[in-house]
Order: sequence, then structure tokens, then C-alpha cells
Amino acid sequence: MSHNEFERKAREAFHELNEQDLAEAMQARERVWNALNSKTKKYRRYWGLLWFLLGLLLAIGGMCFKNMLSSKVQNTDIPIAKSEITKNWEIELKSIRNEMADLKQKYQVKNQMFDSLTLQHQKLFAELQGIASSEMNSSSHTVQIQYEKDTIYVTKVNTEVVEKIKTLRDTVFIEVPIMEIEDDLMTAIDSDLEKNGTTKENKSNGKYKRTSVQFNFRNNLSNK
Amino acid sequence: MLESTLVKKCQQKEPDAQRQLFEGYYNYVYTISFRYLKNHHDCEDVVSIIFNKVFQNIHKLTHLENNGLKRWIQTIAINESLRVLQKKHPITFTDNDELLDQEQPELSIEETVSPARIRQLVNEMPEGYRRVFLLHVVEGLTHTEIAEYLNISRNTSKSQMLKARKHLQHKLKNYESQRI
Repeated sequence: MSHNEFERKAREAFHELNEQDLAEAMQARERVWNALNSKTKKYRRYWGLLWFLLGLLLAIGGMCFKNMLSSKVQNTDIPIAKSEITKNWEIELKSIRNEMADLKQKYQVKNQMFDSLTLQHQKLFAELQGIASSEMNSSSHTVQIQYEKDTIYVTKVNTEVVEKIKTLRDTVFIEVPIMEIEDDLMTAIDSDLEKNGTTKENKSNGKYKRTSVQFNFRNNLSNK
Repeated sequence: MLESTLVKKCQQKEPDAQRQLFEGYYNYVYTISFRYLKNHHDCEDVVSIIFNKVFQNIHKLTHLENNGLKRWIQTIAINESLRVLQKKHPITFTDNDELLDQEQPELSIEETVSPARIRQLVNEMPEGYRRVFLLHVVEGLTHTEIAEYLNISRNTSKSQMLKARKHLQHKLKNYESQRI
């Protein structure tokens, strides 16, 4: 047998699967189909995702490009764009002019107000300066102390008397019960009373009975 | 359904047509893949890949004359099977132009030798010889086509084929002597 014969036999042998292999192939058929389907679905999903991402990218890119273009158009001298812009700009310019006129008026009013305020300020400042200079020339500040002069007759000697003594008073009369006072002791007191002129009536009565003791605190203080 | 109609429907991605095409060519594709890969597990994956490629690229198929669809599917099947095989068992082919001048060896075989035995003999060959032998003898490809498939030179394909024949001659002699 030639090598061609062997090759023919080999071709036949490999042309078909044997029974065992064929059975296995048949068993695998559904599995292969399912795997194929899942792969196709997966591919479709990937493609869908890819298209979605591409679309998204394009949209973002388009938006960016549009923004870039619009910003560029404003700065360039493209005639078509210019005519489009001038239409919008005319309206905008009118409104801006009106706003400018309003602002100008407001500015003038404010300016006038400012002028009058500066004048007032100058006047007030001058007045304040005058007042300040006059105060500087005037005498120094004096404190007037007014002493109250009154007499309190204390009918009862109690602890309150001590408290009242603390206050500055000219004279305090302390009424004490009638008692015999020696003449030499009382002479000094009489001379004081005569000076004040408070006991003239009692003296004129002839019989003089002292009913109170008088202390001249003012004198005592001045002596001190 | 006519093959052209089937292809058109597949091009329109109709699931029924795709299923029909799959049913029609499943055995054919499986046989090609099994020829090279020699195991069912890898074969399942490769067949799935092959049909996926077929459905993805069927819109490129224009010439349906002279078994155009079958030959197109065969090309994809061989390509994918060899790609997976090279990935799993990578081999490098060596050039040996001196062998080309030698005569083709005589392969004597008895008529009674079973196809299973022939398959065994071929599958036991070194991987390089086996690939070239299958492509040349079973697929009926020329050495130029084999060179393109395996990314080798035409002479390398020829020398590999010669070596394969020599190897088979030796094996057959041994087989005959064992039988006697």
C-alpha cells in the first residue's frame, strides 16, 4: 500500500468522531450553546456600556466645545457671529445706558449731599474748636459745698445720738435733766451762749436754770 | 432553509437562524477542534469561541459559492484550535532544508488496520509533525497554506511533513512486526 493509501485512511479516520467522542460531543452541545449565548449577551452588555460611555463622553465633549466656542466667539471677529452678537448687544447696551444714567443721577444727588455734609462738618468743627478754646481759657472747675445749718434738739439720750453726732453739724444741744451746776464751771458756758445770743431771754428772766448742755462742734473742729 | 438565507438571517442576528447554523455545523466544528486538541474539555471552550467568532464576523462573509460558508467556518475552526493548542503546548519548528532532497518514504499498511489505530498512530507523533500532517493530509491544505497557519516557512512545512512520514513508516514497521 502506498503512502497515499495510508493518508486516505487517515483522512477517513479523522473525518468523523468515533461513537464515544460523538456521544460526548452531543452531550456538550447544549452547554456550548448556553456558553455561547451568555458570551453574546455579555458582549452585547459590554457594547451597550461602551456605547453609553462613548455617548456620555461625546456629550461632555460637545458641551465643553460649545462653551469654548461661545467664549471664543465673543473675543473673535467672525462676521456671522458678530451680527448675532450685535443684536443681543444692542438690547444689552440700551439697558446698560439706562442703568448708567440712573447711576449718574444718584451720584450727583449723593455728591450734593456730600458737599452739604462737608460744609456742616466744617461749621461744626469750627464751633467745636471755639468751644474747646473758651473752655481752656475759663477758670478751673470749682466745687461748691453747701453746709446745712440747723439745730436738732435731742430730747432723749440714746444710741441714736451717737450716730447723729457723726454728721457734721454746727451745734448740738443735748438736753439733760436739771441739775445744779457750779458757777465757775458755767461761766465759760454762759460766755459762749451770750456770744451766740440764744439765752438772752432766759437771762432776762433773772433766775437762770440751765436745762441743756451746748457743744460748739464747729469751734472744736476749727481748734483741732 | 437555503444557506444564503440562513447567512442573511444570521447577519441580521436572528436567534433562530443562529441556532440553526449552530446545529448544522456543530459536529463539523467539534470534529476539527477535537482533531487538534484531543480532549473534550478544551474542545467545548474552543467550539464556543469559534461559533462566537462566526456570529460576530458573519457580516464579512460575502462569497457563498463552492461551500463558501463551510470553508470559512473551517478556517476559523482551524485557526482557533491551533491558537489554543499553541497557547497550551507551545512548539517551535526548526528548518531542515537538506531533507527536502530525500525521497518520500513508503508507508505500507494493511487493509485491516482500524481507523482507531490510525488515529492513535497519528496522535502519538511529535506535536510538530502531527500538526503539519493533519493540516496537509486531513484538511487538505497546501504547504503554503500550512506555512500561513503555523507562521512558518513553506520549506519547514515540507520538511515537517517528510519527518512525519518517516516517523509513521517507522511506527508502522514496528506495528507490523508486533502483529507477526
